[in-house]
Amino acid sequence: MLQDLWRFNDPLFGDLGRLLRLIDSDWGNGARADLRSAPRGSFPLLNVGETEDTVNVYVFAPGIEQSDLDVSVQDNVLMISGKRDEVADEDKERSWYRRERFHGEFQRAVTLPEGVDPEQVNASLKDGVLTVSLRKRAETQPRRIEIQAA
Amino acid sequence: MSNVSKTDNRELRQNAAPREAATRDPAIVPPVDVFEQDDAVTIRADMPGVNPASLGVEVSDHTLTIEGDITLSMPEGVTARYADIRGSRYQRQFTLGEEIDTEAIEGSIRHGVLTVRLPKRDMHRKRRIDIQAA
Repeated sequence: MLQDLWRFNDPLFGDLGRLLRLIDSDWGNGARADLRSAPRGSFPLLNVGETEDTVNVYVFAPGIEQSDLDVSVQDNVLMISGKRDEVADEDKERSWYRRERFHGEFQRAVTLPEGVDPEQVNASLKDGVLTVSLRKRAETQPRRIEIQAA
Repeated sequence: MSNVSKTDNRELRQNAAPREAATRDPAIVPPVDVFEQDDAVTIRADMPGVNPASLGVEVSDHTLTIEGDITLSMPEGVTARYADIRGSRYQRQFTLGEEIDTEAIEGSIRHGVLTVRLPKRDMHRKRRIDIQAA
């Protein structure tokens, strides 16, 4: 049987391997994912933070010129796309030992929480980090309620 | 209430300060490209969020260490919703051979990409040997 090629009788590696595969598969949900989601660790890496009135997306996109980045919002999905090219260099011969860095075109979609105003978005690029700040609509922000003295 | 917890945090931080080096959060290993040319070996590392002031490139005892702290301007009171990056600094080390001229190493960072050029000593450069027709 083909399964015999990945079933090990060794109890430690058998269980450990099963556990690692379970973690890799996002605890069994790996077969079902959001249509536009990217696997964890895809380029560019990103973090999303939230304050009371804004949603902030930090895109770690080193070595990319502003003109090579494209940011757009549609409904509550933020799309970031662009390309990173190999820096053209003097035409000396190169022998490569490691090529771990991403090269080429990329695209990532971020589903934003409901209530973000697509008209009020700021984006800035500094030290290879793109910060996209999206303002929440007033009605979705927490509101302080004054307590009246009776 | 918030005042109280802020004060507590500051005290904790002060107490922790002397042991900071040992208890800093784990470093992210940056992806690198390494290539060799006739006169030098070049390392390129993705370290987004690092600026020249927060960058460190050091050579000691045939070990090259590159490190940098991520500096991001963040509004106050941010809570995380999603995180690919789980750390606030990068670090990676390389072992250098005798052929690298450690005095002449230069590094620069632009748009979060670190480039370190490690020149080879003259005597270790590749020499092309002409083959004579017999």
